[in-house]
Amino acid sequence: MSIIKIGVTNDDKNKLEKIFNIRASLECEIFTPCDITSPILILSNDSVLSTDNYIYIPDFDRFYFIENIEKNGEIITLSLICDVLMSFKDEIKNCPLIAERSTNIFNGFIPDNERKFKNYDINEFKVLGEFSELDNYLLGVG
Amino acid sequence: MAKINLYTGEFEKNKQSYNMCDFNNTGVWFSDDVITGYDYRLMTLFGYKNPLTEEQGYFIRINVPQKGINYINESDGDETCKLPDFVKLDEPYHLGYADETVKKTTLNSIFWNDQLKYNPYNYFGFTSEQYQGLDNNSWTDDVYEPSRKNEMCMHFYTYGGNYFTIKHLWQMFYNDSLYYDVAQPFVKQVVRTSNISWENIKDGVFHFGGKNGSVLNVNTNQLNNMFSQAAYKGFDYSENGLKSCYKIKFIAGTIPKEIKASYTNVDSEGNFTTAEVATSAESPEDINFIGIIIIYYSSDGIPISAEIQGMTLDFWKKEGSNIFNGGDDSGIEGGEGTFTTDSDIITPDDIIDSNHKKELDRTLILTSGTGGMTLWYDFSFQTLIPKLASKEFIDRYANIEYNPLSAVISAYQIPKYWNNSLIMEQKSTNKYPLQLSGYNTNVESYIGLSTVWSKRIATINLQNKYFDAFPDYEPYTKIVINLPFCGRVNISPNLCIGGKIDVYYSIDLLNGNVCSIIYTTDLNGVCIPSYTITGNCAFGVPLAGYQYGNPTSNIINTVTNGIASAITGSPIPVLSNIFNLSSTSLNKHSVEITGNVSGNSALYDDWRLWILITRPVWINSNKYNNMTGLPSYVSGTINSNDYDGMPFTGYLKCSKFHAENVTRATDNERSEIEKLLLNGIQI
Repeated sequence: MSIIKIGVTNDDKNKLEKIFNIRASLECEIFTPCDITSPILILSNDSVLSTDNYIYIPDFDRFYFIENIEKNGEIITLSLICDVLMSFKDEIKNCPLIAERSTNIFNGFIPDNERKFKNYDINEFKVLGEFSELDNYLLGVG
Repeated sequence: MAKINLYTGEFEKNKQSYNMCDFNNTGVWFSDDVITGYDYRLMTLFGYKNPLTEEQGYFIRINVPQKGINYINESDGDETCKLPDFVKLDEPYHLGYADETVKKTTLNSIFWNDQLKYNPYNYFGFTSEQYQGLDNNSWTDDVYEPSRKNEMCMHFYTYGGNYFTIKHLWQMFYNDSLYYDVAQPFVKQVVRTSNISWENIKDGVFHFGGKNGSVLNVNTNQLNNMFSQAAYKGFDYSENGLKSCYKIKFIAGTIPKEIKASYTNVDSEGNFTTAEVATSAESPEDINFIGIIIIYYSSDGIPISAEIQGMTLDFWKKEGSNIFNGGDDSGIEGGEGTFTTDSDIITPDDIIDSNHKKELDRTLILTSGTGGMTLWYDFSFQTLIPKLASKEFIDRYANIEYNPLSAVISAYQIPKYWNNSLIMEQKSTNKYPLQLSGYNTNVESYIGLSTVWSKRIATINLQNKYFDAFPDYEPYTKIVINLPFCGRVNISPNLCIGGKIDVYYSIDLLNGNVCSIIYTTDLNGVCIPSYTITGNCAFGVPLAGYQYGNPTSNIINTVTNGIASAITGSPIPVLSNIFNLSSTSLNKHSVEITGNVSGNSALYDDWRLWILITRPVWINSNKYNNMTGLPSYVSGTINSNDYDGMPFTGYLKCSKFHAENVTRATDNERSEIEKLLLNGIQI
């Protein structure tokens, strides 16, 4: 039997560091053989609420989304998928990267293909001067 | 011992060498191999007499500016800053440290991502004739009280890439003591105590800055976008018997272009107007020099000195650094090497200015009306033409083979005014009777003395008005200029946005040929003659041609104006057999109006010089940046980017991500991590 923490996260899946509202610590049986990236948990029927969507397994030191719930009488089987962002957030923050797009560190002079423009333009028109009238000239000899 | 060479005037002229000292509270002099290891961020030049060794010299002291300080302008918020005065210097001002032998690169220092690179080809100078106590040879003040020595030093630095401070510190020697004004936020070094109270020490700290080095925003309350006053005191030395400082001019720009400068007036009450500096460069990193001109006046208002050239400091981009705001660095650091910009930078001497045009001397070909070629101007064709077709004219020349009309090279009209200024700028004082080969037409006319009209007729400053980003440039923004008599030309915004356009017009008054040159200056201050367009503004006037001699001859002496050929490029056609001549009388002379009316359709086009800038309108969404981010191409880690060391926040999408450091994860998990970072995450 293993101890897990079960609860809710309301953050998007692509958020690096999620807020995990832990509802309870539970004992459960991990189905073996077990894939650490997608384990299957077996719990009693009344230990899991319909609102639960997130689990932390200390033995694996990983966070998981609840991907699938199967009820079979008094037993609930949870299929989990590892949240690699949350599980390794500290290491990820120190990995080398080249940012393609960023909210706070950006270069406005790089064309942004995702930017949308209106179908009309703004015209600035300014007259800077003008020639006027005509003068008479004759180029002659003598 | 390391030395600094100070140059006044031109390169390698008036060199003076001084000892370099690290005035690090110890009065220790720099040794030769120490300088290069220092982190230079703020440099102060002092003239100093070492109290320990009595050795005299100039030295540079490096101070560390404080990072992240926001200055609040002390105005009441509605006060606008004085617009900068534009000052053109007579000679370039330079700053630099140079070794005994001038080298291409000497000292480099790290200033966050920027380097203060002392370009040995830049020098600063002091006019040693002026009294400021800078005379290295004499530390005695003949004007001030004995044993009082006055020094002037300048501090230059920049931080945050947004603004910079120039500080003028007036240091006093008294009783051979040296001290600083500790009221300065950045200089808290006291070398030796003094028995002079600080109140007697006057100094001024002029803080100014601006976003991207452009003309500063007049909204004085915008933090980091406007300089502010801080710890400023007026220059008033009258009670100490010293001279009062009247004006300080700050200049920044790119040698040798016209430099934008502003100044602050300092009166005896210590009041001053907020100073501004407007740089010609878009980015502070591109500022090539900053200089100060200090004008000293005596307390009674009589100048005691001419302008004193101040110091300039070169700011250069760090090799391989991430530079925003128009920089050309991709932000990716090279692993095995960095590029150097030394050999690729266009030095100030290479910059083309707008005056690069040839002057043609046309005075040799014109005479004043008696023999030779004359440009008759401002007469009446309505009076002249009937005379040339008159019976008197025909009778006189009917039997003479030589036709005075053959003396007419061309007759035409050219626009008279440009913005109410006469195009024929020089003409004879009096009118003279128009003569053709000695024939006096009795038509009063001026004689034109100008043969070319050449002007810079317009300068248009083009700011990044809407975006300060990529939509300001091609292909999003479009610029069209209508050039009278030449046509319309599309101007590339990449050449001029953030800079300006100068339009030069030249009109050849002898034939109406027009040459228009458009000089574009880009945001880096590089000026080039980008476009040359030619045209013609003359309207040919056909004069009466008449036939004489054999009336059956098909030869018609035709006066056509040479302009026709200029426009069409084809030879003047000989018009023959246009008219059927009456054969009733051999003596009947017929007057025929011939000549080619020049078809210069350009005259029917718009005579106005106008510019049309078409800018796109982008759709702003409040959540756009948070949800999609903006193009970045900055390297680093999530915790610290390579540009300013700050962490990435909000949305982040990577073009490259290496998850090998996540050793705890399985291969599949690492692949999943990389995939998510390449698709974009929220931090």
